[in-house]
Amino acid sequence: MSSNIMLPESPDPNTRSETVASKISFNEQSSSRTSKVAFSFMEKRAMYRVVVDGADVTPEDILEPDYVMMVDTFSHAAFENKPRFKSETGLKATSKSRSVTEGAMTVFATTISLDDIHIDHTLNTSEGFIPDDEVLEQAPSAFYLPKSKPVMSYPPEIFIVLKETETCYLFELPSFAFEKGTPEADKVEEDNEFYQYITVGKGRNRKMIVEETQTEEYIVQTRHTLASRPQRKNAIAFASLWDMHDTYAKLANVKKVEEPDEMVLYQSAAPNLLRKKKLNVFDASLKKGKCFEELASTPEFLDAVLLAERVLSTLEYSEAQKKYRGLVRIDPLSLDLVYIYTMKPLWTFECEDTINRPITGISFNPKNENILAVAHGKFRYAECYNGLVCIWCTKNPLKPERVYQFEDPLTSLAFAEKNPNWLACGFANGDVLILDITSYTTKSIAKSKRDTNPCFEPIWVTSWRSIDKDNEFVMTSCQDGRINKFTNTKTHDFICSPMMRISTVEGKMKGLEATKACLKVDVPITRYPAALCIKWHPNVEHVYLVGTDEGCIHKCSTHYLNQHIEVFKAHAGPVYGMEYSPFMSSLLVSCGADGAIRLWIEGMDDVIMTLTCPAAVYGIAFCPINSTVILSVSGNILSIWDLRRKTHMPCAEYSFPNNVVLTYIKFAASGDNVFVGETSGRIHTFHLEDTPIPPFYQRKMLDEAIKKALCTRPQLLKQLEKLEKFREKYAK
Amino acid sequence: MANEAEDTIRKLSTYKGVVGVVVVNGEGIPIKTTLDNHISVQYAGLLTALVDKAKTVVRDLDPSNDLTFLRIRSKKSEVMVAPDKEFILIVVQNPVE
Repeated sequence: MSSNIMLPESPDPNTRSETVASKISFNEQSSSRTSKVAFSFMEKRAMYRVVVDGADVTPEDILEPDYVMMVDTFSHAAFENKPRFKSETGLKATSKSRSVTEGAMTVFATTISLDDIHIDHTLNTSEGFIPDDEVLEQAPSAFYLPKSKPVMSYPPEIFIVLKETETCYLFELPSFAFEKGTPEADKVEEDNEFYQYITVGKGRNRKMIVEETQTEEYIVQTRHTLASRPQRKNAIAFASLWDMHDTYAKLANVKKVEEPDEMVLYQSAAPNLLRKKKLNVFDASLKKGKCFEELASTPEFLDAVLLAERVLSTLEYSEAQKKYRGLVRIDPLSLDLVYIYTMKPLWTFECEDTINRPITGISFNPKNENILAVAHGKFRYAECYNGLVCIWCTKNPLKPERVYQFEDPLTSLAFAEKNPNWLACGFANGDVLILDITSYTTKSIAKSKRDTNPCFEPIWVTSWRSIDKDNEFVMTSCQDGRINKFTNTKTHDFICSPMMRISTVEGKMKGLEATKACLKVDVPITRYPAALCIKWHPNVEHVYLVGTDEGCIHKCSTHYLNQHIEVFKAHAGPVYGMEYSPFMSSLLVSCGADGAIRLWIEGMDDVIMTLTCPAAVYGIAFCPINSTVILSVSGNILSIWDLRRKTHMPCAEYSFPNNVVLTYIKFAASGDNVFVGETSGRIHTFHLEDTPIPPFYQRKMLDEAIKKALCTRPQLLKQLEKLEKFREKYAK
Repeated sequence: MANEAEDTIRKLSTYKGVVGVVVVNGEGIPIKTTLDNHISVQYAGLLTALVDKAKTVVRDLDPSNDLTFLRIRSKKSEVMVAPDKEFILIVVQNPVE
């Protein structure tokens, strides 16, 4: 605190105040003024007054008339800073003073007029903010000192004068060795002798006391070195909500995945010695190749292509797809309904790979009805084709979504119920394979081996059957009459165990009246017919039906491994298909090579009804929504039968061009769409229209239709009624 | 193997109504295309930004979700974009009307 307080009146640089002082004194501001220093250019500087011997020798401000003062140029209110009136009391103490804040109160009002503001509308704000040209990555310097400019030029001559300075001794080490003979040497010898005397000689025993002493203080010198600054740079990191989600998901994957292998016995050693090497499931996402070849083979790219193709195919097939999905409904109340059972074609699954490759099996995915698997093999005995499995999706009829090639022709395939990715395939050489269809390349989960699977002939039926909630096994039937069960064990083997073997039945059988074959010599061997189709009983868990190429249908059970429970002759030729009615579980329909479709009721030995077709009937299908409608394929004709209306001929027939043989027919679950497979490798999809409206009491309708058909055979009718009563009585 | 890759693109471009197919790699450079170069570059540049934005939309709403397909229908054509981490597949088609 100085004795003199000099405060200017105004920031006018020309004012000077008078002081009363005897020496140079710098007048400081009053310490009570703790408010924020008001921004004022020369205010602070104007505060100080240099007074020498009473005379004010404060240097004047440098004023150049050419240069405009900043005070005059700056007109923005932004620079104004209203100081706080904190220590007003303190200020008032100094009576003669005028408050400084007053001086600082020079307010500069904004003088920006709207005309001065110019907004450039041509700037493209959508392009984003273009940052300044500063290198963001370069971290700012830790040192705020400006770089010293290197000497740009050296003078041409530098004169150097060298002078001798005073000698200053830094260190002196006197010598302790003397030449013998000199007086110093004598002294040293004396000293040595004395030393010997007191340490080793007689003077050894002398009184000694322990003493402490302070060590000499030695001088330390601190040295600092300057390490060079490591290079740093600024980096921007941005974490959005899903970045964090992804990171956590990846971290969860890093946890090691241990393959459970229960078949390996661990010895009683320390667990860390015998533990299997854990695989880290963590894909280090390297920078993938940027070239097309590498990208094109990745499954992600193929998936993207698949999606794009599906979308592209809707351009052509969108109407058909709408009909397929049932978005276009027929009005049941419309007046022009005629029951002509039209089959409107929707699309055809065909592509260049599958042309002229006969279809031997079709299976629909239980989880997703839009996906179907098609097996291509050979139809006629002498044909020579490779096997092909195509997975089609109804969303893209132009190209199959998966294609797997095999060497042997396929004969059957089936999707698994519990794992919808798994497809069991049966081959013409007896192999059974389980494919995983999620991969684009052929990936087999399990394959049957020769040591457990004795079949070498075509596997005609592949189907899945569940054992319990989680497991299922594959059931296959072969040309040699064997019915095998394939299970996937924990040791990753696909073991085949026999369930049954069908043998030829000789003699007279119930069922169809067939002429007995004349046997000249009775050869005592067991012959095994081919098991062409299998159907599980809808009600009884352990019973299944097998149709053979002798024309017999055997009723077998999983409880009996060596023989069948019952057999009856169904056709005069091989039995190609069997179906149970979805509405009446005791009604069985079988079709065979003798061109006949026969209806059977369980419990009755005689055939209820026969529907005749022109050629061998390869497949039949019950309509899931209309109990009396049956579709059949024989030769190149698709026939639609309605039991309610007439049974002596089909209600509608459609023939296919080009002499193809239709081998497969199936209804989709919705009941309106029909899939028909041919030997030329095509699968046609149709929409069934103009059918009678499905009745409410389906079973009753079917019952009536059958009874009406049996009106010419009263004994059967009686038998049927008895059977019904029996069933009613014991069903409760 | 390269043949198969070429095959897939060729088959895609033979679909009815397809004007062009562009495959863009992770850096935004078109690596395979059936259109002109400058058009491909335009598509690649513009669609990369749009795909990023769309992806942000989907993931901000639900981080466990992800964008699989993007279709832009305009008066004259339709652009179908299948994005992925390492590439973007763009198919331009003219819908038959």
